[in-house]
Amino acid sequence: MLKIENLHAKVGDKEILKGVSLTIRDGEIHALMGTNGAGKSTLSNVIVGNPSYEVTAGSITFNGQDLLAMSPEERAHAGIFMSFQAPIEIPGVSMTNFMRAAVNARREAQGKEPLKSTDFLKLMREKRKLVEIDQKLMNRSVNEGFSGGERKRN
Amino acid sequence: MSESNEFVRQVAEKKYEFGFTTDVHTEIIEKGLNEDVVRLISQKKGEPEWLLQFRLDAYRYWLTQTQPSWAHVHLPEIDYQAMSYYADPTAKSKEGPKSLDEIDPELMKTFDKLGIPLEERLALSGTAVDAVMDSVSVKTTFKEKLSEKGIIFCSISEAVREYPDLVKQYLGSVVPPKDNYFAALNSAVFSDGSFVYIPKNTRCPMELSTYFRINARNTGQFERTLIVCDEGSYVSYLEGCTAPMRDENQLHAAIVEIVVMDNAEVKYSTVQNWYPGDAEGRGGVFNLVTKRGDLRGVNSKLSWTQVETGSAITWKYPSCVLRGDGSQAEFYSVAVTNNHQEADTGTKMIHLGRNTRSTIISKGISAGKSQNSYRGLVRVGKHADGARNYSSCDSLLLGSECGAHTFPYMDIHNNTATIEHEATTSKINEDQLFYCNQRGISTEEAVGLIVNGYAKEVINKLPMEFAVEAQKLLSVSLEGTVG
Repeated sequence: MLKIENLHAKVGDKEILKGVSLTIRDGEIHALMGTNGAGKSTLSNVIVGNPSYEVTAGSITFNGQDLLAMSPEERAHAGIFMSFQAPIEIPGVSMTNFMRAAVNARREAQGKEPLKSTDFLKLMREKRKLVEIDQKLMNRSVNEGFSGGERKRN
Repeated sequence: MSESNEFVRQVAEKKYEFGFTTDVHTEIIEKGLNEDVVRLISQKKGEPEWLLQFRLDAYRYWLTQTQPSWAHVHLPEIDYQAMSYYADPTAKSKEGPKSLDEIDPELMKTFDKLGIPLEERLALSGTAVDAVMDSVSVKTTFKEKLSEKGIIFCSISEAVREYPDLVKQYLGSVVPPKDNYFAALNSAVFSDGSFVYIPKNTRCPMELSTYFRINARNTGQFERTLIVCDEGSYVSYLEGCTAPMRDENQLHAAIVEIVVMDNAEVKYSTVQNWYPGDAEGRGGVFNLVTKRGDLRGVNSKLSWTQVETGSAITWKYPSCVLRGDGSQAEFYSVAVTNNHQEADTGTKMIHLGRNTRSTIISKGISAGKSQNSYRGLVRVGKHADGARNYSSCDSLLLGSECGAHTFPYMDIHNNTATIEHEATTSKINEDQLFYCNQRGISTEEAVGLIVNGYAKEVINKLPMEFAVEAQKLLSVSLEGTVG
């Protein structure tokens, strides 16, 4: 369960979230709608811990854990995942290496052994089909030459 | 940013993995430099008269010169009388080690610890090593196996004794003793390094490598390496270096000369990891090096690849003289500076022959309070019709207290030349870091990933085992530099 209470946040000097409260129970899917500048992206960024945003009041808990006390990577290990609107490119870093680093970082946080290369490649093949990303993209650098849709699924 | 201060502190506590010292009986000659010292070194090595004269001429010229100050580094006036010019850790045995049994076990252990086993059965497959500590070559592996193909791979001291004609023919022919201040110094007092000769139409079946280790205190290391690759031959050569952690600076002034004949190819790779000094900038090695290749033959090829992560001060410009028609030269470099390190490094491509081509790919990465400069010269001579050069110099800054500089020089005397130069300077991108964080990757690991991605074009040029080492080294050198 994700529980947000009276959340205030600002970017620079500008306060954008002014007391947001929201509870999302397990299995629920919520869609936030609002005009431009309403704070949809800000709320998502604050949940994942983007350092450009400063929380001034309120709390966020995820399955009872205090999210705001956790680093972005700890939140990711806990299972918070953000699909970026325009994910950045990382030149020279292949998708395969990037994914392996991500998967193994999470496994390490869970106290598991890192995946062997062969097991990882197998896992990646399975998951790739699920999100319909072409094999060719796996040897490219992260997000380089990806279409808009492909990036968002990455 | 308080967080970045925290990271700076962590860097300060970062350990230099190769900072240990070896407790071994070392014969060190008295400190100071004069003609008697030059004669003594020559005598210790049992050198012929012509080489003593070579040294003395260089020494006398050096005396007339002053230490250069044009590089973008704060090189102090070095007190050349305060250090010793010859240290022999193998001094017990008079003739130098003949078999492994005669090498001090402490020395064997040292090189084992550095990951360079000197017993051939333990060696990295396909790599022959010349191990040099302080002023003396301790052991060269696979010498016999290589000699079956007529390949000579030994220490330069041994080469002077065994192959004096070859040495006399080529020594100083690429980097003359009067080339520059440090070249003159090296030519006067050089101690050990490697000699490689690849006979005609021979592909060297192994990687050849030299591992340089400084151990003795207050001693300068004056490496001298000479590689001659005869017509139609190929060799890949690697060089690695480390030194103990000490509060005082140590000097490593080297010369590497490479001669490439018709249709021959040499690949020279360096992973330089001298002790860089501590977080406050105390200690560390002054790495003042002249490296040059002479592409004498038609269609000859030379490729320099360097990964520079160590040294307090680096002053190094591996260069190519493209003399033969159709010769091709490459320079691939990654230079990392952290804390108070200063690097002024780059290359010179001198196009003299027709239809010569050169490529320069330089990646500088600066962190902490370091200064990282690329300095390069592309010269196209009057008769070098159809010369081409492509240069690309990128700088990556981590943090806000470091500096990156680019000093490209071009000197074109032939209007058929095609010269391209690209340069970029960027900071490590917060968005990239956050994207990695959001996918569960820690900032530390993300920096390693991004920097290795940035340097990939160069790392890919290294032989495989060394590429893996270099990747690790890059990550370690920059551990915790981004907040």
